Amino acid sequence: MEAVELGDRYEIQPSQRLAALDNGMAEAFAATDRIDTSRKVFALIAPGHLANRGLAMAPTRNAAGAYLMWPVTSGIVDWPVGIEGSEVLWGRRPAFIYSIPAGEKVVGANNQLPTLNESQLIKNFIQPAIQTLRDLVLLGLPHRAIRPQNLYYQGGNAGDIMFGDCLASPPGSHQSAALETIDAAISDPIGRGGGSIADDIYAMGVTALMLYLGRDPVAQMTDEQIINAKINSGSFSTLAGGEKLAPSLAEFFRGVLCDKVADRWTIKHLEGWMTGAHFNPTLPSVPQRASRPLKFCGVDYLNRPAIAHAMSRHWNEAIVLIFNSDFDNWYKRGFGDEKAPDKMTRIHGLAAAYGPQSGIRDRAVSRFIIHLGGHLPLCYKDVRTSLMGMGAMLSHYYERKDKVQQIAEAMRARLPHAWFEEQPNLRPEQMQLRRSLEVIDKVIDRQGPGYGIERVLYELDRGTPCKSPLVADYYVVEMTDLLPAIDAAIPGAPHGTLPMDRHIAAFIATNMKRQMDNEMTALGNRADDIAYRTAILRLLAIVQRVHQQYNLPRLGQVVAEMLEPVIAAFHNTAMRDHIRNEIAKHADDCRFDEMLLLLDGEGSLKRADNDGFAQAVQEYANFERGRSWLVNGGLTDTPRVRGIAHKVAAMTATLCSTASIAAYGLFAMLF
Amino acid sequence: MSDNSVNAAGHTGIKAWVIIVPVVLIGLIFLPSAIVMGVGMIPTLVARVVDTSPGKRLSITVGGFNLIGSLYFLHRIWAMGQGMDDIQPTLGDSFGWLCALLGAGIGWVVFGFMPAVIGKIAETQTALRLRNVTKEQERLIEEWGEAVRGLHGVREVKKEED
Repeated sequence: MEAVELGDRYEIQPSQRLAALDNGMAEAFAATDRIDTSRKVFALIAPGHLANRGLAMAPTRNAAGAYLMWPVTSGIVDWPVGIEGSEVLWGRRPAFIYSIPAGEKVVGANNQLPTLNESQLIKNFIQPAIQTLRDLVLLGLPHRAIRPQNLYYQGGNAGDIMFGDCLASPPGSHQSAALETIDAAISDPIGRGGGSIADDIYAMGVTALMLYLGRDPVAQMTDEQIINAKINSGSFSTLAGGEKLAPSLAEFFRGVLCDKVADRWTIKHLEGWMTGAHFNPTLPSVPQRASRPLKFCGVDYLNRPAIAHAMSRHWNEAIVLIFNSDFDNWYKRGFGDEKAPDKMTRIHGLAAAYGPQSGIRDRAVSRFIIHLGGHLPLCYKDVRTSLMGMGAMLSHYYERKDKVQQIAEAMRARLPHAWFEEQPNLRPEQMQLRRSLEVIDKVIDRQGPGYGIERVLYELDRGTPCKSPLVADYYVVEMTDLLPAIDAAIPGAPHGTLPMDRHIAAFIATNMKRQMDNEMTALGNRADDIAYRTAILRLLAIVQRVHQQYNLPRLGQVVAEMLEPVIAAFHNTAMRDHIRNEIAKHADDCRFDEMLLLLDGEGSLKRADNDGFAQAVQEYANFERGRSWLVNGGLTDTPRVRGIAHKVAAMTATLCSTASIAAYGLFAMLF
Repeated sequence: MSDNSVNAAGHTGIKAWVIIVPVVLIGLIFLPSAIVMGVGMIPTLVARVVDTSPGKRLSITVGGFNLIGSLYFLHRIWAMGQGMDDIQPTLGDSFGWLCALLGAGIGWVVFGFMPAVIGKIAETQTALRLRNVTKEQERLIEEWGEAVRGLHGVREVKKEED
């Protein structure tokens, strides 16, 4: 298989996998630097169905001289996405070129962790980690892939540690439950959202603990057990509770593993700690305990987040639970909350208010989880996701109709709104999402193209690649790439494929700066094929006008073919021929706006054609009436003929007699 | 109402006077000629009696040709000097009667055969007009397509299907 190019300098070999350098969902391939051939580089190819924050972030930082692997270059490259018969199908994928780390991976064979003593841990790991996190704070980019498996030595198999790639894979998607905070660990790995530096500090703390101990302290526990333990006892107790730690390290671990974000150590704390400063010991923030336990699925639960987490994992049992009197009593009396009965009534009321009758119980469970869990992820049936990760979640599971259905149901039930209402304060990105939800509320139930779940997909995460079957392989995340991608994809599509579908429409509606409601409404009129095809042309023309792309020869031809029925709808033969010639000319130049001027239903040509046609129909009908009159004896009607004949006879006689008298008179006078 | 009736009657009276007065005056001045012509025009009187056509066109047609035939009697009486004594010999001329009756006959024939002639002309005219209509309709179809037929097109298709 031929090599693919990234810029003029780098070549990637799709046939040479470097599985050892894979990171999460990103696959590693051999690459070469054409200019500096001695430089050893490799490429990480990111998944093609998800948004990628790395493409925008990679150019913002210099790759050299830090404890963080950073791409030397990045971009979207042509990439083999499948094989059909003997032919390779090409698409496009995000690619990141990295220098191959000089050192080995920190985790050895069989996932064996090295053991670092206190000074090694501080010097070789914590210090580089603080510097790296400081860099990332400046970039506003959480790493979200800090784990032992993504660490390299700067050189050889000992010494300073370097953090691996954080751009090619979705943030947090490959982190284990032990490395994630309670909220993120409960969420589906894809639905963890972008996260924050606080999440990185937590993951850095867990990684440091694992390196200090030389093992994963919770390796024998399931994810559910780890999360339960973290909720009930706090992360520090769960991960390091039974371990012997040096006093200074114990302070460090208590600080960075604090479950309450506001109390968790920040970069400033870490920098202070490195210079010998001491801080008040951070107490574990365990949730309020109930006066008595609640038994659920054979386990006793004593606090609200723990039962919320359990309910999210045992959905059917949770439906039974919330209508059980034990739960009712436990919730109303277990926490000394006088308003608890009102809150329960409100939750049931809101569950009934939004969504169909059939899903009331599911919605009630979800609303109880939101209420009991506080800042836990949004849970609905099989979906567990942070709000910031909903876009990635929907994008990742888009082929699974059941998950998509569940996410759509959750949106229609206004569960994200309920989640926001439970939060004491919101981060800026959450406030931005809240604004997006207002748009989503308006579009999710609309049926036409440009609306519905497709629109939700792109509204939730603006970087989501267009999932149209036509261009899904071309990783279209920017509007500027859309028309070239359609142009490249259209020859491979079955003949007659139109360059528009629900995904492309939704992608355009989301990413255009102006409102596209009128255009989308026209596009929804499938019953009127002419209007539908004209609406497609209008959308393409708008996109082309904004992005000024005119080198689209294949798309131009397809659009010209697509418009044939629209041209045929013109009545006047001469006008039709004229338009057909003009369209062919514009197809060669790929000028969609010029085509639109010719074919626009409101345009002068169309108006003249319609007016002329109406006149011609009237004229034809008049002729037809005349024909009927003639055929039905209009001229040969007997009374009419007789009347005329008699008149003619009388006139003839009058004329002849007058002429005869005049002639006789003349004769008499002369002779 | 009454004014209108008076006006209408007056208008008709004037018309009648315009014709009747000169004719009566001329008849009185040329009394022998008037008597001869009056007798010669008897076939016209017959036609007037049997004429049911609107506008009395049979009478006019027969009268016109009868008048031409009766000119012979007029010529004869004027040739004789136009005295009262000349009336009888003039009317006794059988050739004169032949001319008068032949004229009247021609009038009858013209009146009788004219519908057939006009009918033929109308048929020819119909064919010519239909040809023009078809030509114009074909021009419209060529210019605007079959759809220009509108409802008439649909009707024709149905006929073909039947």
